[in-house]
Amino acid sequence: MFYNESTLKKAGIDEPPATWEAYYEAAKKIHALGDDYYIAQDTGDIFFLLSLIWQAGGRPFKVDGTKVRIDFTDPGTTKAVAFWQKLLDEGLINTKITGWSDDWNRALNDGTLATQTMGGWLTSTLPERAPKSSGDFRVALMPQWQQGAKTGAANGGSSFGIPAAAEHKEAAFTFLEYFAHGGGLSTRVDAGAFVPNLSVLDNEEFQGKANPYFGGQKVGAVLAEASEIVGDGWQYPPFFEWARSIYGDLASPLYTTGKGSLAEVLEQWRQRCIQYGNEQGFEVS
Amino acid sequence: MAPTPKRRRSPIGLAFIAPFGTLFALVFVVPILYAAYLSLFQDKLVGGNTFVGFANYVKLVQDPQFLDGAGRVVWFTVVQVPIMLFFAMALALALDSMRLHGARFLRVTIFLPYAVPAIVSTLMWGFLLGVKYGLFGSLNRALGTDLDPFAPGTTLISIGVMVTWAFTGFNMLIFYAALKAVPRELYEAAAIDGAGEFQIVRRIKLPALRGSLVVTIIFSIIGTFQMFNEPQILPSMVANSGVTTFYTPNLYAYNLAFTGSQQGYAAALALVMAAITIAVAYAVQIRGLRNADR
Repeated sequence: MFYNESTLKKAGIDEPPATWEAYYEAAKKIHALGDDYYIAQDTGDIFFLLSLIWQAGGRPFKVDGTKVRIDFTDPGTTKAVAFWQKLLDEGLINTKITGWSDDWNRALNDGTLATQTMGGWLTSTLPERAPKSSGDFRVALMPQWQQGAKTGAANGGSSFGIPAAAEHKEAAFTFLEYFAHGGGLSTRVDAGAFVPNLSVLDNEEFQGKANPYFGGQKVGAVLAEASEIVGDGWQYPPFFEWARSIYGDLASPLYTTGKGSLAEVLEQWRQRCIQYGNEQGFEVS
Repeated sequence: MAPTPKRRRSPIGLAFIAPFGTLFALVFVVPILYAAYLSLFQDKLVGGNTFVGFANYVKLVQDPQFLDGAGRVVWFTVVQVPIMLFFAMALALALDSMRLHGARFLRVTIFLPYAVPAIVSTLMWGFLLGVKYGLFGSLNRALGTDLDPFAPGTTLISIGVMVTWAFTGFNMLIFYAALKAVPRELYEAAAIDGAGEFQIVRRIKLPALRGSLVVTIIFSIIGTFQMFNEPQILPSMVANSGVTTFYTPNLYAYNLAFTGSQQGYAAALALVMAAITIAVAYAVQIRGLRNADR
């Protein structure tokens, strides 16, 4: 979790919220600073919702070969969804600003968006997005569902593949090896990319380096710990790229009118995924 | 009695149409045939490619998302095209009245938006109409209003504004060219017969514009039916503007093909939209030309 320390201080919060309960209290205090002030934004960000579920212990997707099971009713999922629904219902989340937009950059820059629960890769672009907030942002572990617990989750991810029709598969594989595990890593790290590779994360230089943008905080150590505590056993359905593209269609009415609920949106989403997956030859239920 | 000379077909003729014929086959006929071929297959992620006959077409006509998108562009066309063409015609008449100062400058300025790529113009209008940091936000604050140009109910109007801004100049030029082709003597004769400016407009200029009106309507219909850039860009700028992955048929086809891996279905959609567009354009042409001849 990235947080703007100076905004939090202004709201009378001295420590970054360590639990989601504290996060909820912080959200109220931050919004009390003014109509533009929010703890976070959300306009239907499925990756954020899934990492909340992931951290709470929910495992909505189970994939075994071509068999896929989708279920948003397990206790972990229900808990996470209900929590976020509460924040949305109480108007504590900015639902007007969408992530990665110009508005988002500006709100991060002027300090009206207090936190971002996001992947470590935000470190590399945050300084450009919010130059005026230099020195204000800090990094902490995700708030916890239980006081004293230490579980995290990932947000999104990327993968590299070699098409079956590729002519030079061997060469492509060698390059990917170099790019993902070999000498190519340092080039990427030097260029400012956040590479969640163990050899990078465990590196003392990475962990010990004070980052001036984050007020001299040793950001690398926090990110390395965050990646260590990610909950096990999470799976994405094999057609997730399609699934996430239509999630916005279904979630948009909720975010614009406030009618309905996240749980209903997820159930509609599940139905669409089942229909699509089966059409594509999977066995989805 | 001399026999009427028979037209003889000489193979040399073929050589003359060959450049056109080859290009036409390569860039029109082949892609359409390939799309038609694709549309008869379903390529599953698991199970591979199978021939499904017309199943994609049957599915398409019952697909509520396709019907939603198609209905939206039809509705958009019915409202936006007349407004845009009215502006274009009024501007062309004004330029042709020869009573304007700086007509040449105006002509270029009004045409200029057409030269701005749709991606850029969408970004630009997105900033202008933004309620948080944009011009509209300042307006709202000054007037104490709460108007949002990118709410689900208003986004289509905003897109209409963008499209009108971009294409009015283009259509104006077509009208203006038609007016330029009217012999000046007609106006002199009309003036001698005692016709006023408005009578000249009604009796000479507007009838002269009929042919080009048909052309501009056809161009506009084709353009709006293919709307893609604006709804493709907007969601990354503004949240929940109501733009869905199936907002327009073209956007739907794109998403089906590139995120849904349903190329066959997308090909069927593209062909059906093409058929509808051709049918509508053809109907306009036949009707328009019949009227113009009268």
